[in-house]
Amino acid sequence: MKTNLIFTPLAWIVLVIAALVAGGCEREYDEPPPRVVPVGNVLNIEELKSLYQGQRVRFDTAYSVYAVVVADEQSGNLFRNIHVQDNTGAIVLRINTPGGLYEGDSVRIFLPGTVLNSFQNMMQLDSVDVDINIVKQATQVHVEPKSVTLAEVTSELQGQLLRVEGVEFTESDLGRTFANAETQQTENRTITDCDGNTLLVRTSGFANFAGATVPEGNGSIVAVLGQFNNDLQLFIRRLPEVVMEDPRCTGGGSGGGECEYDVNPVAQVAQNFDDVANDNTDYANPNWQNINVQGSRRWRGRIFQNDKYLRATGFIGQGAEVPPTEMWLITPPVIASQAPTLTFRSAQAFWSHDEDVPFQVLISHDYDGCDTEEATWTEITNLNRPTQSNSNYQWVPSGNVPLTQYLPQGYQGTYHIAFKYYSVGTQTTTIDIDDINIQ
Amino acid sequence: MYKFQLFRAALLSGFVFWALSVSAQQDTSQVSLAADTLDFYDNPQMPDFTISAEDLDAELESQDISGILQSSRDVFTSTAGFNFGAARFRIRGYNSDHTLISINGVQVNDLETGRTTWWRWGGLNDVTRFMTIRTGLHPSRYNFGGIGGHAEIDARASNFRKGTRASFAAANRTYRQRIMATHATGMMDNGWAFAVSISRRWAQEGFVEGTPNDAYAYFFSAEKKLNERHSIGLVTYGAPSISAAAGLSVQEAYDLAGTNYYNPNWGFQNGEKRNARIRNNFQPMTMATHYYTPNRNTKLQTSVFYSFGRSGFSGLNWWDARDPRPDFYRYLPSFYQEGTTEFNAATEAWQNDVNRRQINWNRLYDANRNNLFTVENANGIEGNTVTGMRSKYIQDEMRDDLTWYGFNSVYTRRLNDRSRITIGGSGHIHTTDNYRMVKDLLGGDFWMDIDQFALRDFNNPDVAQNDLDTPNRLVGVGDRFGFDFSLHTRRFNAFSQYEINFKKLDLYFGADVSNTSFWRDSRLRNGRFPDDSFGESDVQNFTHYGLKAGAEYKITGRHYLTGNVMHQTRPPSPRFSYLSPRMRHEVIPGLTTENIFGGDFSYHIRYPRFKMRATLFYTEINDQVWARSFWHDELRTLVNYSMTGVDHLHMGTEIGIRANVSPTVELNAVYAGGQYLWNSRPTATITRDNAPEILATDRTVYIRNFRVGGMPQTAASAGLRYNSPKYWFAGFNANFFGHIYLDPNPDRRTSEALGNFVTDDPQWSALLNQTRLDNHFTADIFFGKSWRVKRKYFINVNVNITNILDNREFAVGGFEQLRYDRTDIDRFPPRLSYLFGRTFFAMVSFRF
Repeated sequence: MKTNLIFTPLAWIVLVIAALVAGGCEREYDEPPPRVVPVGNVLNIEELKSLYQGQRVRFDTAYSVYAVVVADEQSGNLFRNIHVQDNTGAIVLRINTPGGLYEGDSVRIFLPGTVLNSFQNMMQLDSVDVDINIVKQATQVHVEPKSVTLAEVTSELQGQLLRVEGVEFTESDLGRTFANAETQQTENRTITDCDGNTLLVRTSGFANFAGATVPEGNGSIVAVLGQFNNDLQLFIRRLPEVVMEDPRCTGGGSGGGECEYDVNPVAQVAQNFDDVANDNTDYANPNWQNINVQGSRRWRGRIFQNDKYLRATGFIGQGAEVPPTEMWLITPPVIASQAPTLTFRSAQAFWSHDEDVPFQVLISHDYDGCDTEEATWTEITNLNRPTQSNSNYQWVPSGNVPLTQYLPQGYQGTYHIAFKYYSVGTQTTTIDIDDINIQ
Repeated sequence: MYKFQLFRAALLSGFVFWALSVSAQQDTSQVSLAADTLDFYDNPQMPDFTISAEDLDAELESQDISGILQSSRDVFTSTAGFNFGAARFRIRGYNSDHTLISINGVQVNDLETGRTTWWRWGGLNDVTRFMTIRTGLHPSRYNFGGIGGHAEIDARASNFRKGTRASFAAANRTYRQRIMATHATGMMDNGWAFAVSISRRWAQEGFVEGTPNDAYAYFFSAEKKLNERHSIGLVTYGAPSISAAAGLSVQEAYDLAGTNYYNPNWGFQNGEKRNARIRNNFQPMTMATHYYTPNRNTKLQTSVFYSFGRSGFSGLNWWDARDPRPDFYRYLPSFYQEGTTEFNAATEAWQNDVNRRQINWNRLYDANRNNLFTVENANGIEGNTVTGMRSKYIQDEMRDDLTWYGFNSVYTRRLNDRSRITIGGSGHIHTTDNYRMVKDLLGGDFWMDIDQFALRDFNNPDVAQNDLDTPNRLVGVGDRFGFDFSLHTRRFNAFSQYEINFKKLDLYFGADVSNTSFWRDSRLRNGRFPDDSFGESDVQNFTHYGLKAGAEYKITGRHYLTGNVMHQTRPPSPRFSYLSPRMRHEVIPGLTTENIFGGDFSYHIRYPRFKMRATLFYTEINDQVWARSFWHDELRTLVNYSMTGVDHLHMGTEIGIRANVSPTVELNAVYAGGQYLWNSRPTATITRDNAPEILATDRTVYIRNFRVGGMPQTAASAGLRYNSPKYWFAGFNANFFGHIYLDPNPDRRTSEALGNFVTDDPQWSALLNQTRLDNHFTADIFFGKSWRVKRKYFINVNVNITNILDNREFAVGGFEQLRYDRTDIDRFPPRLSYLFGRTFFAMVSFRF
């Protein structure tokens, strides 16, 4: 029988090998050409922020901003918020999806598609797509934090990386953790300097240091500055940047509580609060102390029909109970004159105090400028204050209040006058004060 | 004689196309997996219902009424396999690990999962056609078998029909073209026999968009007859295949894309369609067999075998970047409230922008090329600073590469006219290397091998290291990363079967005993589990057994009753026994052997023109374990979720009827009505994936009497076939499928998930109710013709058209996502897969 050559086993084996050689190969795909991101006009951060005029700005033309990432999401404290800065300022990038930008990245931000906006007074560049809007220039660019005192922290520094020196967590925060790591709730803590200035430290419950206890000493903190409405807030990048190992400034007896109060005494006071900068922000004047003794609130500057004055209130919401809230506004040291007198005006609104008094005026001649508890304070009673019978926001003149009786005979030293507000529970009457004159 | 030959050829070709089309349909089960399950848990594949022309011949000629148990032509199985396969029907609701497949007696079910891996010999239809398949409980002379039955592929060269066959087929299913050629010499005068088969199946794009496929297959069998008693044979086969997967998506995506065949796995790259999910498999097998026949009544067949090779499934991986999968729930309009600007924008983009609807490869390249990154102390070397483009997105490949060898020996002897004994034993040494490999850096310079979740969860960079001994390891194309371990499995088995036939009654008894041991051996020390991840784990060892018995009672030569019972214990599948096999040695708490009790009872009628089988079956599969990993929204972490005490109950009815109403017209009807239930309240343990922390124990899962999902529990079909004396045939089938469910997500059915919802809350029933898919009808037609040329060449043409009514609304399967939002269950809706619309398969074959 004639064998057909095609069907000999050898031929089939060859075919098998051929099939094997042909199979097993996956196709290679062409790599797409690199994307070219144009530069367009270059703005610095200050110029970028100045484009915001109360309306959100959506970019659609080629602009670029060069900046360096100073805080990223890696610790979990910031989520989709990236702080970048240049030498003119800082801004927060809100990125569409987490990830991709790291501290030390020097980047060019290509603006088309992004939106410049102010979110509760915080300037931010929203809708940033890291894959599309960011061109990395270099990595590991180290930005030195700007060293400031607590009193110097203002919204001017918004977004920037700061090192705040000489601060400590307030007494009431000691023993607490930065945030609630269990429930992953974001929480606020407060730091204070020895002058009683305070600032919030806000920490996400997702931060990988949320469960760490706040340090007890005094020292420095490196953080970026955020803002929510009128509250300035520090956000820590990582725990080792909170170095508080020095003795606390208050807390008596630890020996280190040296008082650094160097406000120059004044012969007279004429304070009409024209230096109030923003409506409804904590009043800040380096010569005046604005202390929250209990709670987190302080006297706030108000601007109403060109009149500037201060307001204190514990009110947080209709029917809501508030924790004890006590804030003091303390004058600079006043040199006692022959016959010192005090005048001011004050007003109440929404009277709700019954047992407690919302507002008292105190005087002390042994206050060292640091420790209100150590000093002897006497209430000044021979003056007119608003009561429940006054209508809301009706100014009540105090009258000429002689102070001689509250000072030692022939006293020629200095004294301080404190305006104390107290609120608790549903007793949340609002008090305004203005036009404080001491002669 | 001539006419008979042609008639036979026509019949043969009918079965050939039928067998081929079934295997073509197999490929529809290549589905992608949800991100929230381990990729291991592939959808089980159905057995390939194939019977041989030889069996058909034997039946036509056989007068032996006790031959029923040996014949594989079953009126139910053949029709059900043909008509129900595409709808993912499974006989009696069993997974494929309950059916043992053997080649020359060697069990080829995957040893780690028990599942049948048809891709290992896919495309060898000319070989697998000569298969003995029995579903359900039966005696077997190859092995003990499973509760679902057994199938034996005879690869002995001298058993192949002498001749040559070549065919070309065109289709529009997973493959578009197929060529196949087979040649067998039969036993030649010099004592040699050879059989060879090769094929290629390929498609630029299958039925689903973005699914190119290319699969080769080869088979070679040689046999040398040494003398009248001894023969030795060598068989080697393999099927290198590369296929792009179609992914399951959610109905919202299908609706937006305008087709239920939307495939999220592909996208344009430079204008070309590229699929991210590619299977690339090649695990050839070689075996040598010794056939020993000392006398007419005794046979001893011993094989040694060796198999090795790759199994890879690629996918996208990403680090600290947005999810690149286009149908991620946050990219769908439903992530936003209806009517909002965002909702409308997402809808608009999904409908009109192909780069939103599909993977945007160019964007991935852009992102990688722009991700300048500095790694300090790279590769564990102090002071080694590397700066480059760190890939945020890569294509990686999950590998489980095989090394498998062992032996199998079966001895069978007819003791006398009435009885026969079969004894066998086997040993399997099986190792898979499991790892992830970088396949494509997509424009970047390197990938860093650290775990993103761990980095964020723990304030300790060591914890995030996947390779603690080489921290900050940078990897490139071809490098292994993430995990790299071997899973070793050993199994030794002995079985025996005794058959005895009386005049009216045939009986058999079988028993087997096995020992299975397995352990993990990891080459990486993981930062989350430094003490429990590296090196060899403890060995898990299970001894298990099976007992079965059956009887066949011949009422008359045309009427039979059969009954079978089985009890079997099985080890847990090695692959599903570990809480987190990629990371650590810890096994599921309470790991134990499964307990199976089953039985069936059948009534058979076999007249030349009327055949029927009606069966009742009842099976309990108890004490199973179940483990998956997924993102748990309540616990806010990736968890390993394991259940013990998982029981299944399978009971129901099978009826098959075939009637030849005339010499040319044949009617057939089959019905399968089952209740496949979850039959217990399993106990769940939840552990954190990336820390040795137990999050919940003894959580009761209330899923008793939920339906086992992923298949029609009711299926029925009726068909008519005309066999013309002019050597052509044509016919049609109408099919019904009902009671299709999706397997329940267990954690939704716990009191913890219900929390403080009350029965009036809409969430109550949304959480608890099992997802049920709609019932559907389909219809198929087929025809064929054959010619005989010059008295020695046969040409056959066969065409079948499946789903002729083009029903594109028939969801045949899917899964409930394990990730769920207890307050808004629609946030993570089930992922569904649809029956292909109208498809055809046309083949011309040439045989001489």
